[in-house]
Amino acid sequence: MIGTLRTALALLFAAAVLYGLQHTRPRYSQITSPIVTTGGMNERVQTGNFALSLDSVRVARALDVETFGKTKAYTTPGVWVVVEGTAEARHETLSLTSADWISTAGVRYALTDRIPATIEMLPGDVNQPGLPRRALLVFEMPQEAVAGGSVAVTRSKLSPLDDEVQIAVDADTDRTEPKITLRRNNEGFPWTVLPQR
Amino acid sequence: MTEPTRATVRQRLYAFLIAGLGGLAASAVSFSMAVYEAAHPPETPAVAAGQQIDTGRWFVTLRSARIGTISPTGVPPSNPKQLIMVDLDVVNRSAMPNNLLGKVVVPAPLAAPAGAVPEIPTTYLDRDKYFANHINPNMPERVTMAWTWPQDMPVPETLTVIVKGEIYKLRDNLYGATGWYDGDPVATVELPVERVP
Repeated sequence: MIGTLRTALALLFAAAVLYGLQHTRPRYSQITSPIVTTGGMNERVQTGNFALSLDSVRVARALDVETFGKTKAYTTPGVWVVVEGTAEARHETLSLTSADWISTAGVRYALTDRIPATIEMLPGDVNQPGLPRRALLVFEMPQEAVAGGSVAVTRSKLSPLDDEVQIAVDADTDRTEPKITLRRNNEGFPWTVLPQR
Repeated sequence: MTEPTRATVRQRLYAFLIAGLGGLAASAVSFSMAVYEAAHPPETPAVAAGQQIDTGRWFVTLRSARIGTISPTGVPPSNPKQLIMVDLDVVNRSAMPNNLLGKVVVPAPLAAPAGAVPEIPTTYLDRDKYFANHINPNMPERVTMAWTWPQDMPVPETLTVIVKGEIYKLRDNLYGATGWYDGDPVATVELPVERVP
């Protein structure tokens, strides 16, 4: 009698332990997630491989892209967010091919692939160690994803346990502009964001 | 402590028999359920054009279908081929941008037989009249999906489009990783086929 009761209790205990393990076990995506270094605007955020700082963020309802004398208008159901900063490799030449906007709800918005490649954004840049380089990031997202969002930059989307920089971007949604223009410059600095401010 | 008891040969034989028969019964029940389900597939509801369909990962609203040779970019192709084009409104309900609409919306005559690799359609963003790459979460967009229509296949008056569901798994069976997996069809939509150049 006592033996049966003991067996039943042991079984129940084992089931409870297994249930607990099942529900507290970290997810695969958490185990293999990049190693995040966080920071704020106008701050050099440094990882083992690269450093990034962001200094400008502009929000607009429409975006015009001007390259080689042609202008194309890009509309959106949400808003355009144009972020500028400086990226620098530390020990070896590298490209930072993945940049996402993470909203406060945890939703990720990838760098836009709508604007032409003649406007070179961060993923196309080759960063040389010791040579800081200006970087441009353009995102498209719903209005409600802007406030409190952050920019996550890493070398590749597909490399687990690599370094990732997350910078909290305090975008001012009250200063949403009706339209901004991205112009490709043929000489000098590669791009200009208009109107200047 | 109770005296340790050792089961007799007869008792052990019964235990083996009961376990074996139970296992056999379980596999017989499971197999016959699978056979029954395969013989009686669940009826897929027919949904009218213009009505929103919840596929899990997407909200899709099929609008119209047409057959022609010029894709939505407006550029006539160098080697003309017939394209079946379906206009639809989509909302990405997941937390990541993606471009896997071809897994969800499939014209019934072009559905690949089991095991075959289906044709990947080209998706165009109507806003840009250009290729759509990833569709951002929570941003309603109107897109046109285009499949190549086989030369030797007659063009029907109405096109039946299968809308497939996708299932979210917090932990998959292999890695315990989160992901979206193919589900059962959730709806079929009949669209009249308009002929355009």
